[in-house]
Amino acid sequence: MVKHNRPRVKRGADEVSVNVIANVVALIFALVCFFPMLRVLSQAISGDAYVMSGQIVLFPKGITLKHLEYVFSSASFMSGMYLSIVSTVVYTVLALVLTVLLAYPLSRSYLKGRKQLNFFVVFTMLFNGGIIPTYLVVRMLGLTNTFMALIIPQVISAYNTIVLITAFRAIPKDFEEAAKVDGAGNFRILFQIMLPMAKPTVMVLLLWYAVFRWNSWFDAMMYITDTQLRILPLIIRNIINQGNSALTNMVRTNPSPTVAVQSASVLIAVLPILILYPFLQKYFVKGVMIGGVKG
Amino acid sequence: MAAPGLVFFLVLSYIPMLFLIVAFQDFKIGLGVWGSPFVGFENFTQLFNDFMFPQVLKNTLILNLLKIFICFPVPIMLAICFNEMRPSRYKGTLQSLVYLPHFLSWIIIYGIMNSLFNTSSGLVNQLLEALGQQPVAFLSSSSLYRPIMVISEIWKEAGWSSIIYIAALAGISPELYEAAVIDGANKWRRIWHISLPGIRDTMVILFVLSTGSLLSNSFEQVYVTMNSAVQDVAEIIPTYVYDKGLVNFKISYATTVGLFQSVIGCVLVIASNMVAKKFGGNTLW
Repeated sequence: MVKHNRPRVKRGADEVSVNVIANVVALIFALVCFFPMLRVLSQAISGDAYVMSGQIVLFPKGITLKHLEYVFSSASFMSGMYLSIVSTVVYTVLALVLTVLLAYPLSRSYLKGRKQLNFFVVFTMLFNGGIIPTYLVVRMLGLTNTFMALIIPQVISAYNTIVLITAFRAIPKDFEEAAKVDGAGNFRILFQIMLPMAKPTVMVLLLWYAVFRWNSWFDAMMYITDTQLRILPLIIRNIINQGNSALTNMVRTNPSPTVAVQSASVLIAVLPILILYPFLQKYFVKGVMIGGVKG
Repeated sequence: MAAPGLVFFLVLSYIPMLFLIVAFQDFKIGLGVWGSPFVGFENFTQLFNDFMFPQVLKNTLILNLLKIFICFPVPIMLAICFNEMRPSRYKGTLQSLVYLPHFLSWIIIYGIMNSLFNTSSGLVNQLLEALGQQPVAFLSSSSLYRPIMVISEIWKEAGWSSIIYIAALAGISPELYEAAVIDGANKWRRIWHISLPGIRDTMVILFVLSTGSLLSNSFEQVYVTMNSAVQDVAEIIPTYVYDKGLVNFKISYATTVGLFQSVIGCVLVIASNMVAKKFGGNTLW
C-alpha cells in the first residue's frame, strides 16, 4: 500500500505497541485461515495407518497419493469433475461474450434510451422474483435436467455488466471517433479498440465468472435431479455426508479411510483455485477496487 | 448487439418478477402460471397462521443480526492492522492467506469443518481427548450451531472484505497524519481520529447493504450445514422457501414466503439508507 512520508521522529512507545499488535493480529488471523486448509491437505496425502489412528494433526506423515488415486478411480467422481470443467469453460466464454456485447452499447452516450436500458439492468440487482418463480421460468424453457441449466439461467451478472460499462466509459472518445473516420464498424471498434483497452477489467470479469461457476452448486441442485448430470461440488457434498459409499463405479478395490477420501476430494476441488491463485490474486484485488469505485 | 443480453434479463429476471403472481394463486404444475386459479390473499393468511414460520423468522433474524454485529467490525480491524504493517513480502503473504478462504465454496468449507469438528476424527475433538475431555458433537449441536455459523462466516469473508477498507485507508491524505503528529497526537489517537473517520463512508455503505440481506443471507452456508439435529435453530427463510417449494412442491406457498422476504429486504435497505442519510453519511442513493 501507499507508503506515508512521515516526519522523521523517534518511534515512541505508542508506535511500537501498535506495530506489534498489528503484526500479531494479522499473523494469528492468517494462521487461522491457513491451518484448517493445511490439515485437509495433510489428511489427503498421509498414509492409511496415520490417518486412521488420528496421528495427523497439521502436517502429513507417510506421504502417499493413494487416496487421490482412489478418488480419481471412481467413474462418478470423474464424470462430475468433467461436467464441472466443461460447464465452467462454456459458461465463462458465453458469459463474457454476452456481457461485452451488452455493456458496450450501454456505455455509449449517443445510444438512445441509454438511461432507461441501464435502469433495466440495474433494477434486477435491487429486486428479483426469488428462487421459485425463477425455477418456474427455467422449467418452462425446458432447461431442467439439461446441461444448459448450468449455463443459461445465470449467464449474465448485472453487477459485472455495470463494472464493464464503467470501464468502457473511461476510455477517451477520441479513439472511437478516429476509428469511425477511418470507416471502422461498431463490431470492429469494439473488438480492436475498446476490448484491448479494457483488458484488465475483462480479465477480472473472466475470473469472476469462472470462479463463480466452479464454486456454484445450488442452481445445479435445483434445476438438475438427474444423477448422471451431477457436478463436482454436489458429489463432494455426498462424500462428506455419506463417506465412501458416495463414490460409485470404483475401479480400485482397496478403499482408503473415509476421512482421507473426504479430504482428498475436497483437495481436488480446491486445487485449480490454489494453483491459479498466486497468478490471479492481483486481478481479484483489482476487481474489488473497480467495484468499490463504482459503489 | 445488446439484444441477447437484454433478452436474458427480460426472460430470467423480469418474467420471474411477473410470476410472483403465483403467490396469489393456487398453483398447479399442470395448469401453469396462466391457468391456475386465483385465491387472493389466502397464501398470506396461511403464512401468518403457519406455526413453523415464527421460529423460522426468528432464526433468520438472530443468525443474520449476529453476523452483522459480530462479523462487521472484523475486516475493519484487520484492515487497520495491515495498514499499520510495513510493506514487505511477509505482509503480502499474510494478505494472500486471509483472502484465500473467500474463493472456497460452502461445500468445501463444510468439508473443512468436518475435518476439524467431526466427533471421531476431528482435530478439535482429538485435542479435547488429549486433554482428557469428552468429544463434542459440534456439527449436530443446536447450542453451538449459531456460533459455528458466525465463526465460519468470519473465516471465509473477513479477509476478503478487508480489501475495500485497506483501499479506503490508503486513500487518506498523509498530510492529515503529519498534521496530527505535529499536534502531538500519539499513534492510537491518529488511528481513532484520522483512520477510522477516513473510512466512515465505506463502513456506512457496506452496513446499509448488509441490512438489505437480513432475511435473504446465509442460504448456502445454512443449507450445507443443516441436519436434523440442528434444524430447529438452523432453518431460515431461504432454506424454508426451498424446502416448501422444490422439495414439497407447494409452489404458491413458497413463492409467498419468498415474496415476503424480498419485500422486507427492500424496505430494510430503504430504511437504513434513510437513517444513514440522516447521520450525514455517504449513502447508496
